[in-house]
Order: sequence, then structure tokens, then C-alpha cells
Amino acid sequence: MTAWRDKARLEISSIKPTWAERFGWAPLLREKECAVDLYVRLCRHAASEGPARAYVLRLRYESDYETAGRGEAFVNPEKWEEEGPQYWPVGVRGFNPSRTPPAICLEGTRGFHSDLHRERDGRRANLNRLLLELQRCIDE
Amino acid sequence: MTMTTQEQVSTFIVLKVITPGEDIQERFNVHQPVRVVFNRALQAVGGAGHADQFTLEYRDQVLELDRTIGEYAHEFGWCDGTELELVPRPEVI
Repeated sequence: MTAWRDKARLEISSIKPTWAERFGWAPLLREKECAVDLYVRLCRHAASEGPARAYVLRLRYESDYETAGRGEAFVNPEKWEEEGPQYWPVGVRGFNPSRTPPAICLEGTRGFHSDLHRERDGRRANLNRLLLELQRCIDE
Repeated sequence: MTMTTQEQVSTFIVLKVITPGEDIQERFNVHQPVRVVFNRALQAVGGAGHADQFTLEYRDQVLELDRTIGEYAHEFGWCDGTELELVPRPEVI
């Protein structure tokens, strides 16, 4: 049964080009045996950090993603197979790299629906909205 | 009474709103407040009742919903096909 995989691909393909281009998300999909991974580049323009810095967020779609959320992890921008709290941006509202596992408190993530707010139904989440909220938070 | 073409052009404008869900492209009366566009875009994303979770923006500028479409059209040079955006406010709870 790959219905969830088809839905995940469809959702990823619905990322609005207008926003992807403006924010430089450069979305990339990678199929895995048990998951569909979406990689998104998030550029931070915080004055305190000097020049814009790019982070790479992986959103992992698994068979239960619609209710459990998309698994969030920041990865090494140079080697995407490496993940860990050291690759997370620091001091961003809603980003919790020190949790186990690290989590983002925004609707649509696994951390939100499976950890921080289990009472919130993941089926109303929207990928475009999640990406915009992530970008807004990281830009604050 | 039938409007002339010139009156129609000056009274109505076709605006596109990019939303996190379905985009809309509709004709609006320039004498109406921008809130009309905002509410229509909210409907498109199923956000009716959650108006506080979104802003309507033009080129990164948040629009004041009580100003008329015509005021903004004059100020920014909007024409048929101008794109606005319905943008969510991050809800960290």
C-alpha cells in the first residue's frame, strides 16, 4: 500500500513556486524504503549572525504522517545524511533543538502532533503554511 | 443602467491571491475594503474563523483591511492580475 506515499508526493509537488523561489527553499524529494524525505533550504538573515546563513531542514514523511506529522530534523548542509542538534539554528521561536528528539512547535511537524500537542489533529496541516511559518520564525 | 467599458475598468479590478491552499483570481469592486479580498482568500484555505492567523500582503507589506482596494490600487499601481498573498502568522503554542 503506497497511498500515503502518493499523497506525500502530491503535497510536496504543491509547494508554491512563488514562495520557493523568493525564499530559496530549493525543495528536493528523496525516496527511501520506508519514507519520503523532503529537503528544504532555509536561509536566515539575522543581523546578529552576519551574512545570511543557510540551514537544511529534512521533513520525513512516513506512513502515519497525516496524523503524526512530518518528522523534522536539520541536517549538515554539506552532508545531508548527517543530522543532529548542532545543525539547528539557535534562538528561533518554536525551534527546540535541545529536546529529545529535537522538535519544532509548528502545526504539521511530528514534534507538534506526536509530542508537544498530541490533541491537535495533524490532518488539517498544510505544507505551504508550515514552510511559510518556518521561514517567518527563522527571519524574526 | 449599463456601464461603459471605462466605468467597468475603473470600478473593478482582477486580483490574484496566492494562498497556502488554492489560489484565487477574481474580480473585485475597488470601492470595497481590502477585507473583502482577505475574507475570500481565507475561505479558499478553510481559514474562516481564523482571521487572526493570517495577513494579506503585497510585496511583503501587510495591508490594512479597512482601506479600500482602490486606495491601494492608486498607491501601488495595481492593475488586473496584480498578485497579493495570504500569509500565515506563525502559531507557536
